[in-house]
Amino acid sequence: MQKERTRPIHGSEAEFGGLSRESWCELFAQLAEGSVQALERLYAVASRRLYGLALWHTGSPEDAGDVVQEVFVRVAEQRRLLEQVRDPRSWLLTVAFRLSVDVIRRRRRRPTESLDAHELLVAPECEPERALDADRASRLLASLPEAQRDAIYLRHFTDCTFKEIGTITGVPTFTAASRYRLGLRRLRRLVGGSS
Amino acid sequence: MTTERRNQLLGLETPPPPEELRGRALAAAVAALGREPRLDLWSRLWFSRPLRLAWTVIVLAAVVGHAWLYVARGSAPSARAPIVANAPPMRDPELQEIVDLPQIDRELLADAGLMVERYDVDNRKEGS
Repeated sequence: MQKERTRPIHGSEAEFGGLSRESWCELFAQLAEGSVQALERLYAVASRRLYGLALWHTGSPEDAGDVVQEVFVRVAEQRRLLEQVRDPRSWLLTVAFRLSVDVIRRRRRRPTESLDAHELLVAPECEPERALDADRASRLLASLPEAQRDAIYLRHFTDCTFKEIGTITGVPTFTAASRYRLGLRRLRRLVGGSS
Repeated sequence: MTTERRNQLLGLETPPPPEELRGRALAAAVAALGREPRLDLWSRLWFSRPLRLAWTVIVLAAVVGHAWLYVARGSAPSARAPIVANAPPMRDPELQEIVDLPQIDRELLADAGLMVERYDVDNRKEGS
């Protein structure tokens, strides 16, 4: 039984949305047992998407790094409850989202730098010549309201349904969908205006 | 599906986390694995025997107190009971007449044009 549980999870490990629900639950079961290997595997699977979510919400690489670290600490601290989590992927995103919201709340009490200063998107490794596109897209995204940016990120990069986006961000499904649509519409308008 | 959606965002990617984050996050998580898990209020209440006992005692005390108040109020004179009804009869007849309010004459009310009352009175007459 123990051997069965600690076997590595196969499949597209690098892709956050690529793991099946069973694989996620299996990974969380290993985490609940306090497996360090499972933590490493979780980092390999989830860190990029969690970091992206925190980066898009906070706009700061330092804060995003802190959020990811805190998510992993929470996972380790709450390992007893992990086996009860029904949707591990949404759970992780929810924890990361709430921590990002806390960062923003704390930051409102102290002066901060502009979101424009950081890149929210980068060119794929195979197409480095598209760095200019990435820079322009980052600036356009930075001009969107936080809520719309969150909805676009969760939809495009974590493959969440509107219902899941609503659960993660704490709003009704309809609101999540309308935030996404408004965000995309605004983005298209900005693209049209800036070209 | 994700790739399709990503293509709508010009096929761009989100930046990867910094290299040093892996070591930092995993070290913090491993350190947290060694610590006693941090529990919320309800979990602490559930897992701790003294707290569970204290909670039970408080609930029992509240239930017993409520029952005692209920029984005690039942044996005491009701606060809603009319004071005049419990008072000894007055010696002064004039004062007694003031205290004993006369009954409202329903016939008179009906004659005064209060149709609801008339209807009520008619119904009662028919019934009798």
